[in-house]
Formats: sequence, C-alpha cells, structure tokens
Amino acid sequence: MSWRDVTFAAWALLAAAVVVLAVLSVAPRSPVAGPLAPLRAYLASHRVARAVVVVAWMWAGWHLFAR
Amino acid sequence: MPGPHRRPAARTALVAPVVAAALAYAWLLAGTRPFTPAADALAAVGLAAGVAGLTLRLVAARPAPAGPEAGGPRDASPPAGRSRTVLPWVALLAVVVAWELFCYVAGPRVAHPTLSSLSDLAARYQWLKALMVLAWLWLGWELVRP
Repeated sequence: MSWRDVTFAAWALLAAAVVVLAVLSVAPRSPVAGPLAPLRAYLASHRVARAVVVVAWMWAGWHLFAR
Repeated sequence: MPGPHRRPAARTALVAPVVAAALAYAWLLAGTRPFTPAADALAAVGLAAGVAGLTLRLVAARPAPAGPEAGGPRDASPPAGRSRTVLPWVALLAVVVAWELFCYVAGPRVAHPTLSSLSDLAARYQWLKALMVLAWLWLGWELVRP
C-alpha cells in the first residue's frame, strides 16, 4: 500500500465522518448541532460580519469555478 | 388560523423550482472550464445571487425583539432541556486541518494529495464538480437565509 493510497483512505475516512456528523446533526433530539450553528448565531446580530462572510463565499466560488 | 401558515406554504411551493434551478445551474457551471467566458458568466450568476440574497437579508434584518416568544436563528435554539454541541465538528475540523498541513508539507503532491489537489481531481468529472457547485450554493444559502 502506497502513501497515496493511505492519504486517499484518510481523506475518505474524514469525508465519512463529515457525513455521519451531518446526519447526526439533523436527527431528532440529537446532541450534535449543525456545523454552522455558532456562525449563524453570530451573524444574526452582526450585519457587517455577514457581509464579509458572504463576500468570502463569493470569492471562493469565483476562485473554484471561474478563475 | 390561516395567516401564519400561508407563508410557509408559499415557501414550500417555491422549494421544487428553486431546487430544480440550482441543479440545472450546478450542471451547467460544472460543464464549463475555468478561465473561459462561459465559466466567468455562469459563476457571475451565482455571485449575483449572493449579492441579492445578502441585500435582501440586510434589508429584512431587524433588531431581535426581547422575550421568550421572540425566537431566533433556527440552529441556535436548542431543544428544550438539552443543549446541542458543536464540539464534534470542532474536533473534526482540527483533524482535517492537521491532515491537510501534513499532506501539504510532506510532499510530493502525487503521494500526499491536499484538499485543493483533490478538488482539481474531482473537477475533471462534471457530476463531481456539480456536487461541489451545489455545496457552494448550499453554503451561500445558509449564510443569507433567515
């Protein structure tokens, strides 16, 4: 087994952990919150921060899909 | 009391067309190549949607009224009697960052692919790139939704 295989396996494991936590966070009476819960709670009362975060989101999309 | 139920019903009716539009948009954007006019134009549509969503959100935002009936962000309100934690997410993020850093410094990239090299690999397949676009759209929605 090469390092490349190990690295891919580790990334796959981490991706699976993301899926498991995402499922747990939407399950009824689950103790796990959604991943964006603290950020959304903060943005609810900080307009400038929301604008900054949305601009960062726009930059990420532009960088990923256009340039 | 029909009043309070009208708006959720209208929102529910919008879900299908919005999801269909998002799927079509993701497929079209995933079919473009970066550094082309088509990619620029289609990505700009997503950015325009982000600007529109942010503008609507900021215009609609009002100071949260005090009181137990005021409500708040949906994710921020824990179920009665229980507190919800983000600690598992924080721990997972720490592991991802640590592994990303290890891959970044370990090299060579072909043996230790980083997240960006994984996204480059995924972008070769239109359906995988479309999933990335959908994830980006979902994140944008989460940032501007009420």
